[in-house]
Amino acid sequence: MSEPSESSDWDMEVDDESEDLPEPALIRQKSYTILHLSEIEQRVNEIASEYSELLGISKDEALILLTHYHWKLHKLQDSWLDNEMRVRIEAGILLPPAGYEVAKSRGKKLGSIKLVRGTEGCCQICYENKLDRDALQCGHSYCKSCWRQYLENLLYERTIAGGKCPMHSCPLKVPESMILGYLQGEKAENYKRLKCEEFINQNQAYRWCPAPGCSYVVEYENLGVHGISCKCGYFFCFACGEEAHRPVSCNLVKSWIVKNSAESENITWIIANTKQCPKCRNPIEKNQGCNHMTCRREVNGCGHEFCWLCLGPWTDHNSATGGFYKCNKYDELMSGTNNAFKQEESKREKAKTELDKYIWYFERYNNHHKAQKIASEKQVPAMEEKMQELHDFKQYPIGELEFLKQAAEQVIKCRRVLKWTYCFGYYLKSGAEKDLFEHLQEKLEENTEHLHELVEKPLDEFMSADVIDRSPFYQHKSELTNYFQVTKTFMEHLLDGIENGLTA
Amino acid sequence: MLSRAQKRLQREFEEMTRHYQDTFPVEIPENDTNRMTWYVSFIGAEGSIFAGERYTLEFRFSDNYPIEAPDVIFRGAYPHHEHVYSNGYICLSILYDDWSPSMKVSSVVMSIQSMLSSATRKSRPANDASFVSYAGGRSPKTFNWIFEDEKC
Repeated sequence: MSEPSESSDWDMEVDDESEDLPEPALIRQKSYTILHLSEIEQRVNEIASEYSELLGISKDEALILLTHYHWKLHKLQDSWLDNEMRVRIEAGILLPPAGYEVAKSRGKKLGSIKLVRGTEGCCQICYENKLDRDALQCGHSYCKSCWRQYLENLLYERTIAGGKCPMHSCPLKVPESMILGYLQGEKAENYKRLKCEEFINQNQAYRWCPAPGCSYVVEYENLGVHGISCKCGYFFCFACGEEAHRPVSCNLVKSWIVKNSAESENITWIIANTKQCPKCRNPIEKNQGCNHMTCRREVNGCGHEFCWLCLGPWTDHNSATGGFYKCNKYDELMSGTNNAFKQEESKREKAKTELDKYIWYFERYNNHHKAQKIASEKQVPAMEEKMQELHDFKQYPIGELEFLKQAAEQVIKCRRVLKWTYCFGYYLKSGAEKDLFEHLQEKLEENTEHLHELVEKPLDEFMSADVIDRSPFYQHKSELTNYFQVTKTFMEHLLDGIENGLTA
Repeated sequence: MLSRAQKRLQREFEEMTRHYQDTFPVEIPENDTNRMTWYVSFIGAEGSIFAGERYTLEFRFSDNYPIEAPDVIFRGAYPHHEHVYSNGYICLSILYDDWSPSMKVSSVVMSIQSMLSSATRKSRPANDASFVSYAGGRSPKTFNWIFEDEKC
């Protein structure tokens, strides 16, 4: 838990790249730390200790204040300086004295959290007369078994951070030392986890890794670059939590994802490919055949027979109106003055063009997405295996084989960038910028395909026992390394170009 | 052996019969051997628009009572109040989010009585029909109640 910029994770990333290569912008500028939940707890405790010293209060009280102020440290400090007593009362570590008025409370002597033991009367939860009881400063005393059950219930309801005295409308908060006195083992761990989750969720500088099942947390410092590479291998955007998506903005990614999953596309499809039955308004898709349509009763239709083109009843149609495959009425309608009909038709045409455009971009986006997935799930591990074999059988030093993995990883990076360029391209208006963009995109695609081919080249020819000459291997290495460099540089330029405006 | 909830309810029952026999009479169905369902009736407070009207509340207690709030609904005739649905469900924060184990049956009845007293006219919740059809037989605690005003 040193300074984030000097953390070990940063160093780890650097190890993946060889020393003499310039770092790509994403890694060079990153200033974040990947933390485990236990480190978050440590951080929470550090801040509580710091504020305990700073404000001259117990750690229990500091924790309650920090939780109350949603870990907004400046706000807590300001309010504290402004009116210490009010902060204590509002956060629930001090009972408001009788006749309390905030304005008059400055400089008064202050009390603090302490446990008192009540012995009179009965426990106000179980109504039993038990002597062994606990109470906060307010004196509302309950027997120990009721306290335990109460706190366990707060834990179960996930409201234990900020949990109050069980007395209705008593504002005092239960201090952590007391909670941990009652909850042991797994329950204590759950409490600590909840406390950390609260901290992470309230604090804008922290975010869970969004990968399913990953329990790492990123602590983020730099507001410029959002790409976060988690220890679990997931590469995501700190700002929006989606997969890292350079060069596209978070907003575009959001629209794109909504578009890909949403009903809206289905609706576009329905508009483009179906017409409503003129009688019962059920949508009907014509996927083959002639213009004679029957709204099938088997699928909840009404049995109405109509013409696909002019939507008039089929009974009006015969060989004189053009027969089964042509409809003169339609031609008349389109050339005539029936605006409502023409509007419907043009809406459908527009939807169809729009849909075609979307499908074109989505297919390419999806191809890169799949290729990226296969490369990271299969090719990189396979490459690591091969590297090990080359090392074991042919005694190449591992350091000399690193280029293989780097190249395979570059393919993944390129695929990811290319994938997002199709999202970018979909939203980019036609014009000079788009022409240039498409040219660069095509080039990167070519480079990536070529690099991918080189990466997939079987290494068996360098593996066999009777090969003594190592020069073919080094030739391959030099070719791959060169191409890797070219592609990487090209990708960086494309990213910078798009992010800074291609024609600006 | 009585459970913690049963013991506490027994004491509450004694208190109710001792202090509130006339104002909040309690009836426990004979077939309920666990005595975990109570019917408590009360009369609309003098001077309020519900004055003199008798209503009955149904309390269902869980084994986790009083840590967990009881389910409380109107049984039979229900008052026409903007926080009382026609299936008897009540929108009152102390029955849900603001429940505290220090509360008890008598304090709940008093809160409901006072909620009725503060109304100036008889009305029904705006979304009554849709809520009631949606609610089915579920416990009132399973809904996300939004408490629109302090009295709610």
